[in-house]
Amino acid sequence: MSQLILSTQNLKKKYSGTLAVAELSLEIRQGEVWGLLGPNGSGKTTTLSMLLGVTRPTSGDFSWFGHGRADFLRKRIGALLERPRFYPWMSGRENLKLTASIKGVPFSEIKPAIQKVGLDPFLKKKVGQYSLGMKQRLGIAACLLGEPDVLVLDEPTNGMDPQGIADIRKLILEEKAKGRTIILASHILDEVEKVCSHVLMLKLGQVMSSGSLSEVMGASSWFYLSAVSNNELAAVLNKHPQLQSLKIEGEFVKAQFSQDLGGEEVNRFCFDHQVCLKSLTLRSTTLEENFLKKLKETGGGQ
Amino acid sequence: MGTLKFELVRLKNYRFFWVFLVLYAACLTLTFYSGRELIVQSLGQFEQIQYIVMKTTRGLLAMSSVSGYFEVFLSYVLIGLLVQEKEYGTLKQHFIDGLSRSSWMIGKMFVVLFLSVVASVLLAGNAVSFLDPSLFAGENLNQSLIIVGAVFFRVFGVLSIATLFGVFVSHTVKGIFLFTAYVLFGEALLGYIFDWVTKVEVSSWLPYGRFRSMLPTPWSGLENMIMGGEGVGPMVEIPGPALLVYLVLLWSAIYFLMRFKDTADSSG
Repeated sequence: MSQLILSTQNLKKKYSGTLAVAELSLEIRQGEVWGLLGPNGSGKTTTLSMLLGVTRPTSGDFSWFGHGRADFLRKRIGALLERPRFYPWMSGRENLKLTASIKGVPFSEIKPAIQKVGLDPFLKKKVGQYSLGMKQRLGIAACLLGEPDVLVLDEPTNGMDPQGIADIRKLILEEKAKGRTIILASHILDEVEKVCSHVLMLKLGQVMSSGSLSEVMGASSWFYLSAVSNNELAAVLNKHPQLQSLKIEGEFVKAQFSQDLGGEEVNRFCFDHQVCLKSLTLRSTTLEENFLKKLKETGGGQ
Repeated sequence: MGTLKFELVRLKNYRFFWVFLVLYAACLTLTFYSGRELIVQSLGQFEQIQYIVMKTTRGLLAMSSVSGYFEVFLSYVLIGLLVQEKEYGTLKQHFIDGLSRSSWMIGKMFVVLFLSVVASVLLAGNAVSFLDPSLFAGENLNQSLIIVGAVFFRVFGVLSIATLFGVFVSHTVKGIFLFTAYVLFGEALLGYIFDWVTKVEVSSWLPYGRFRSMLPTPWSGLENMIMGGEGVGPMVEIPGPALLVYLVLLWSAIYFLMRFKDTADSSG
């Protein structure tokens, strides 16, 4: 089993009577990419603030790299929380020098980090003159300084144009490929689905769902099938050991299996039972559909 | 070392800091220069008195007392330095990046120390330029060093109080306003209340007053210079345990406030 990067035990935060995060217990291992999902006010940023040492938990505990929560451990984490924070009167390079001196990283690493996010032409420009997207890129460059073991990114594509979003997504995938552990909080569920291996869904500080993407999504795909006789087809599909649900919807039989089966397997199963399919369409639920469904199940959007 | 490197990078790029420091140096120099001119003019025909007044440590003591007023510039720049970290949210980012609260505090102590050294060196430099170079030589040296030392501790103490204000408030203007109100009226009012409640005179032991009283008031400093008074010894308070305890208490309060308070942005 890979190294334990972060563990939280009943982590809780209350703000003057309002529960922001309730009893969060979580384990994140090396190389995992976690997506933190939840509507506004669900406790995503409060959770990250506690993990990053800027908010004190009301109760519970957490540990980074199995060594507790000492300040120096955060030097192994590259984090961008809510929005990029820089001194506007200083250049991008000077701001990164500050981050480098905190993390104990040589200043020579600043240029490669800046190049990685495509900001090298603006290195000497004052941050006050940067657009939000540029600040966001600079924030990500600051996160990458010193090759951290973990990246914590809270809405990293906020304020970026489509090209910027694609660039950052590519960068996250590159970091993921290097085996870096990533925690990503985002409202863009499509983005999370594309890069994350695990998901934590929060609502009003409570965990709605957590685990690997396939666990959270459950049986996330289903088949629309049709044959000469849909009743006969339904009777055959009912014999499949992994069948989870079956429904005749108009001209189609809608079947969902407990494990994601390929179309070829379903077609062979029907053929082996003397049913010839007229059509077979596979449809998957997106993370967004799944998330909205879970929100609805737990009582509305907020 | 990382903490000092961090503070140096930050200060190097902080124009507001350097502008106020130059303003402080200019005010101090102008005070020395105009003070000397005033004395020369008013005592024009009594050259012997001029000599006694200006070329002795009494002159340095008087100027040091007057220059105490300009510490307020240094306090403002320090409050600005601290509060802007919150206004731009960079304080939060520094802690996220792994800066510990104790390193943060050491960095701020370094800034306070730097400003105190600058104030003391500027005072000594001005004394040498505008009063007499022999103030820092021979038999004058000891007394002059006591005066400069007292200025150093006074600035360090006042700036430590300003740091506490900077940690408490979330907006620069508010911080400057509250600090000014405290040093002008706040402490006097607190002293009055304390004295009234305890029936013992504790008002003279409140922190700002204690640090300020290390040197005489500008008026008694000038009087001592012109009229010839008790001399430097009885008029300068060498920092005793009480002042050191105050410094420890102030910096402990600063540390614990940072340690146990959530770090929030004050804007955005």
